Amino acid sequence: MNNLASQNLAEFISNEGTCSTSMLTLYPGYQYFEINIRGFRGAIAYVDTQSVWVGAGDPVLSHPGILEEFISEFFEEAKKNRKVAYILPASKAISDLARKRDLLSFQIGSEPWFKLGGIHPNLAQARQLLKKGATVKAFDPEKLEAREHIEIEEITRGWLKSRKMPALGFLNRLEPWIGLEFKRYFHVIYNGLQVGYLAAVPIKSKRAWYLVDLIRAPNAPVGTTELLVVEAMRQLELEGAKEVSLGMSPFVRFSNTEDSVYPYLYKVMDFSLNRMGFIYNFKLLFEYKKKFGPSNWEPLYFVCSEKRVNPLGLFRLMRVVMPHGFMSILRAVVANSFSQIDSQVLAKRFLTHKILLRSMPSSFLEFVMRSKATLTLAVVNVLFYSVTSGDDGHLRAKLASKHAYQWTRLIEHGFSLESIKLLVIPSVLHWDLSHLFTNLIFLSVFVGLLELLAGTEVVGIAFLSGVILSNPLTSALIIPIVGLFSNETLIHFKQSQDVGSSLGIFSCMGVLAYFFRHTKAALSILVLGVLAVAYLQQDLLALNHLIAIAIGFMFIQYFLPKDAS
Amino acid sequence: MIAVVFSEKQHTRSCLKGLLNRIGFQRVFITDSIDEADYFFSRERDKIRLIIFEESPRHGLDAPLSRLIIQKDYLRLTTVLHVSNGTRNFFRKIVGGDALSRIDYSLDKPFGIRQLIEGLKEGRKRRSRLRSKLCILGSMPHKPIVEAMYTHEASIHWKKILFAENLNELKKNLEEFNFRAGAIAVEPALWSEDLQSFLKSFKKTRQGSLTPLLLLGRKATETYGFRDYADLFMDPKEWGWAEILKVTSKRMTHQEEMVEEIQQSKALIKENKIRSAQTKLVRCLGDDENRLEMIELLGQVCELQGRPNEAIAHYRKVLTLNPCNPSPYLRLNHLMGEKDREVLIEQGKLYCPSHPQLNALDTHE
Repeated sequence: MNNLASQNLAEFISNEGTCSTSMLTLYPGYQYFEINIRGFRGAIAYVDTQSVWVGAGDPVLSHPGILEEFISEFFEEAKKNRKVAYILPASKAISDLARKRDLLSFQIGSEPWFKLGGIHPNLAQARQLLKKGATVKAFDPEKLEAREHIEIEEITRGWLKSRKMPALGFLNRLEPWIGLEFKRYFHVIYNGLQVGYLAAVPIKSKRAWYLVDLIRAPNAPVGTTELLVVEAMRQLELEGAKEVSLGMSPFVRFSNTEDSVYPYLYKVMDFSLNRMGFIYNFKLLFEYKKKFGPSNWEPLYFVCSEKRVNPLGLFRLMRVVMPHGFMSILRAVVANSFSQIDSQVLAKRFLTHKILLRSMPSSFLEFVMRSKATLTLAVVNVLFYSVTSGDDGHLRAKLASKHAYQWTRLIEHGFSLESIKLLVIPSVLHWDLSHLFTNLIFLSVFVGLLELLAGTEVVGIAFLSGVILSNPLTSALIIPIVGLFSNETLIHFKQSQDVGSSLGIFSCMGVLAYFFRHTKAALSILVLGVLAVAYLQQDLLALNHLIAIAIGFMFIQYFLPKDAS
Repeated sequence: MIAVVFSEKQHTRSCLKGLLNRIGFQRVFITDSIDEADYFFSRERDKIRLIIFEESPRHGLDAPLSRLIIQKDYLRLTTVLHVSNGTRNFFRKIVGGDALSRIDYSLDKPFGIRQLIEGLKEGRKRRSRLRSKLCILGSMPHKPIVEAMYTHEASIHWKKILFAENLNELKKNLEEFNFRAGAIAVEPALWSEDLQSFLKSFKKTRQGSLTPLLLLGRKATETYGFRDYADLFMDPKEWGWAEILKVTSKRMTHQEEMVEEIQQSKALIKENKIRSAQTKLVRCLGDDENRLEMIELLGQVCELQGRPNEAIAHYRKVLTLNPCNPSPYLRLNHLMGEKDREVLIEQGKLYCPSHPQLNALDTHE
């Protein structure tokens, strides 16, 4: 095997390569397996990984008759090096050979080919752009003026920036300026500026071209790429080209025969095509290529030197095809998913139109800056819990007896600073870890959302109002009523203790209910929830959450009425 | 009334549209494109009463839209409100305006209809505060007027009085100070057909509709040429300059919102919601007690509520400010006793000589 494509090898690949991707194997990063079989030369580029050799497309052969032997030799060589060999994308011929030997091979996509013969794709967008005065010309990157160079660089930068997912590798690398010596370039000029360009690689043996790099500026007019493709085809045909390829479309155009070979595998690929567009949108790519009306679609395959694919080998293959790694793809997927959540749509569906609320933050930093109260409350609660809980995770009995809210203790102090302390301090205490955890979740979701929609001040006032007023009001309301029915219940109620930040949280939830489109429904859910909890806990004091909701609701109704009167 | 809402956020645009419809803006144009806004400004020009825009974090207060508004002369009288995504304190109501960004008032989210109405009111006030030049056409001595301007607290709105002795000078003043001219006062002795023609056409413009025209005289012979378009008729010898300056400043300051309030009050009376109409009228008269259209409507409300004496008092007050308004005469004709009616109708015929209904009234009915 050779490590570098020597001049001789490069010429061989250039002259004898039959795949659209043959010339792309002259990019750096490939190794080459070359042998001589019965006087005929054969070579294949491959990527060497820890456990796999990934062959880049069909081998280049000086005579097609040596294909089967070449493949055998390649697989043998890989085996000698304790590697499994894969070839992708492979032609049907190689796939048939592999299946003949009972090796694993399945279709992974199709490649559209255009037979040039005076008839060219007739696309409305391309025609319209032509009418508006756009032109397509061939250019030599080495002969561009400085201004044109800058434009091209800007276009490439803009294109890369607009990509939502990390770039693919292997034969999908975007390297427009490698291979200047054999590539042809075309650009679209509109209103005096370049708005897109493409690079084409030759397939000399077939007098064909592969339009490999199709780049447009983010603000390019509609029809730019269509015009580029159509005009490039026309100009290449004038120069003697017979065929043009737009490159493989993954996971498409499987025949029924193929489906029956590995039915589950093709179901997975079909699912990926139709449902996983948020990762790489191969379906859109396919639709795009399809609209040019290819003459035929050639199936392309994955071929393995063994009967089964080893999961580790598959992993290595993925690393070759996706060189940025799975984590970068996962990050991009998560980020794209969030960016696709249209906060405007959510706002329209769930929030009232009678109050103009704040918009969702556009960045993580803005999110943090606008969640000051929520984050502070969360930190304070956690800190207090860590200091006030015992080894068993429960609130220390001494602290509970001294600081938990209790009606009898409140009455002792009357209207004084001690009373305020008695009302505020319990809000940072929690019975146990599960109590704290539940409150933290509610805090993050509801108080956090309220703070984003209405601001820190609203949250601060609602929270404090709930914390200070809920318990005394609840007690003041319930005691006279309970006193009429049962003295024992009354005594028990007066001695009930309460801790936790839930009163402030529920007050904020009352404010949030006001901002919802269906306020009554939201309030009903909250009220029913509180009643259910009070019933299950057999604790009348739990009804303080109802008062907290009412406090929040009335506070915001006063400051932000939905009606003018 | 047309309002323009400019924001990149669709929810903001649709919310504001709903709120503005509720406070009486029949047409609300919403857009997120500067080019569209520019086109709409050019097309509707004088009809745009309000522009609300939301800052983009990219631009801060130096938004492209506010620069566009500054370039348009015909938008000088339009109130511009700015909506921010809560960069300021929730309870800071008055944020004031920003001359550089052409913002009359800034609203922080979250806000509802009440805050919007208040913001609109404050924004209009600010816009009207800029219209602090009083144009006087006449040959009277300047000193008492200037003294009244500087010494009386009620005249605090007027910063400068521009005197003119003829129509050309008046035109020059109006051209020079453009939208900053807040009111025009005219001495009856300087009446001419040219002046009449000029003032008539001026009152038909947007600026004219917001600029009170005061005739400095009340005699029937003096008011004849001005009765169709003058808003107030106040003789300085009867009222005093301090009072005149105060009345004109209040009229100018609240002109725009009062036009809307008057329409709404009329609608309430028509729908037989008399108490609501009364509440509204009383509230508005708290801002401008000499708003004669409101006083007249209040008179109607009193009539409908069976309080003729109060109605008479209101109609009489209207006539002290504008004796050329035929409507109070007609209403008083039904309310007053025979003896008083006689005098009244005579007066009405004097001030409104070509009014057919007044002329048809027989003093001995």
